[in-house]
Amino acid sequence: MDDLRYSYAVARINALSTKLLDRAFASRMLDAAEPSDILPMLRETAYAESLTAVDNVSQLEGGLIRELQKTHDLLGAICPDKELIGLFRKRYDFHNLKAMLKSKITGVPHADAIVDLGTYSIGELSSAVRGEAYRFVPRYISETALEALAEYRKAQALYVISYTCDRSMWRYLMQNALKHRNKIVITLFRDYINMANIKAFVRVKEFSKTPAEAFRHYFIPGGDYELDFFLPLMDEDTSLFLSRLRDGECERHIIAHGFGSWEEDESFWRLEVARDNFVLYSFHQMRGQLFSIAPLIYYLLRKEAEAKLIRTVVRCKLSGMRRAETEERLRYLYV
Amino acid sequence: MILRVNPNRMELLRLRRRLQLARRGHKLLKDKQEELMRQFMALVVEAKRTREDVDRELEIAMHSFFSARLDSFQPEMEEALAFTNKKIDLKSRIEPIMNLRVPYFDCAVTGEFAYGFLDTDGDLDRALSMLSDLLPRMVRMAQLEKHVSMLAAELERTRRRVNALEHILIPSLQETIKYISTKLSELERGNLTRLMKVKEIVRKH
Repeated sequence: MDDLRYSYAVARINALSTKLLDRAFASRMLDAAEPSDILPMLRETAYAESLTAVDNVSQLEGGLIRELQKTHDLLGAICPDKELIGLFRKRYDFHNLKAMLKSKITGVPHADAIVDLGTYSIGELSSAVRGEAYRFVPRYISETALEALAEYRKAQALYVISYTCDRSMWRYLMQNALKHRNKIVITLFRDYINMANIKAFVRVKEFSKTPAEAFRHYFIPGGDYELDFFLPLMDEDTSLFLSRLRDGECERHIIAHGFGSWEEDESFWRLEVARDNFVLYSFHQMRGQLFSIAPLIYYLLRKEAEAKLIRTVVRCKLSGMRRAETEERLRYLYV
Repeated sequence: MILRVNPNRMELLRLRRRLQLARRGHKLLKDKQEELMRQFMALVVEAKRTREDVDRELEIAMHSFFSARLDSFQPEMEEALAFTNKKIDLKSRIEPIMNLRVPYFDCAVTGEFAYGFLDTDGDLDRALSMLSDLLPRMVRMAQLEKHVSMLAAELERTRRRVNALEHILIPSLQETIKYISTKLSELERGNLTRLMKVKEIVRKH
């Protein structure tokens, strides 16, 4: 059903979308002789303001984070469903919580692992975690922190904090998406969960000594595939599992693209690229919907994809990778 | 080169004893040099093979690591790798090889990485698992290369000693012994001639 409240936000986003980096700009970046040549190019784009404090490519990450922060702030300001668009920032709260909990346990400073993109103040979160005083922090943070600490005390292993926070995050995001009854967001989150589970399945199969037990920990409920779908496939060969995925729906087919060359190099980066391509493609189809949240999410996804594009090109240039190899790793919108 | 010694019988006896000792030392050092060379060659082959293996696997691991961090968000990568309860237990001991005190290392990696699967890539698992396996082998490679370098230095030292004995000390001692023997023979002959002369003078009177 059309939601007329979105007309202003979508019109504004459509106007801003003309400033997004495109294939031609990606090609210019790929043609740059040196990584440092990319900075002046970016200063001609919408990134100019975010990159004012960036003097060299080693400081680029800060500029990209500032640009993402600007995007989230803008979307938060113009989106009529502030709570719904705010869900896309919540993952940074969970990320910061994870980093702070681990930092408290190990005693390692967390400054470099914290990202100021979340919805909750870093200072307040830090003092809550340091003093284990979760009374005044939002419920989703306090519940996650207490659950993660309880699990950690039982298992005495740091990775428990990661998977407890990840599972808790998706539970929270799905619950809220369902509460808003927004089909687009629900489908997007479900796709993310599906892909996270498939990725975790292949990873535990390849690298864990006790894959079934490990997968029970890493499995995130809320997707289309239940735990029972994966567990019987645990003893089968990975390529057989992938061939089963290929027989399925369109979404499975696209995930299978990520594993298209699995037998050759057993590399995971293609899955990441295929996942992003799938999500970008789905939202690219929906970008014309004038009265829904889809164009806003598409804009956010494009900004995230731009950050990945810039990082990939700069890092590939720094390592002297050939253009063809770099292009393989870019999202489909840029090649 | 003749040593600067007094050409007397006592010195001759002392030099003969020194020559005997030098020959025995030379033989022992020659044996040591051969054994060192044998061990050195075996170690060089092993060190070369280990380095080639480590270099090859390190390249694959670093390639996977590069793939994993290529488009990753830096704070997420930091979160994944900075906090860990992985511990490296490195023990060292000194043991002798051919009278040479060489170090040995025992390396054990315990604990687990602390990252989750959501923000990281499978290539990171591969890179870290390979690097964890490689670490004890890299320590062993360093140990082997240290042994090779210490053996090479010892071999060089032994070779110089053998050469010094073979080409300087033993010939010098031999020459000096020969010189003293000649000198003593000459003195003997002089004495004999003098005695004969004295005997002849006595007979004439």
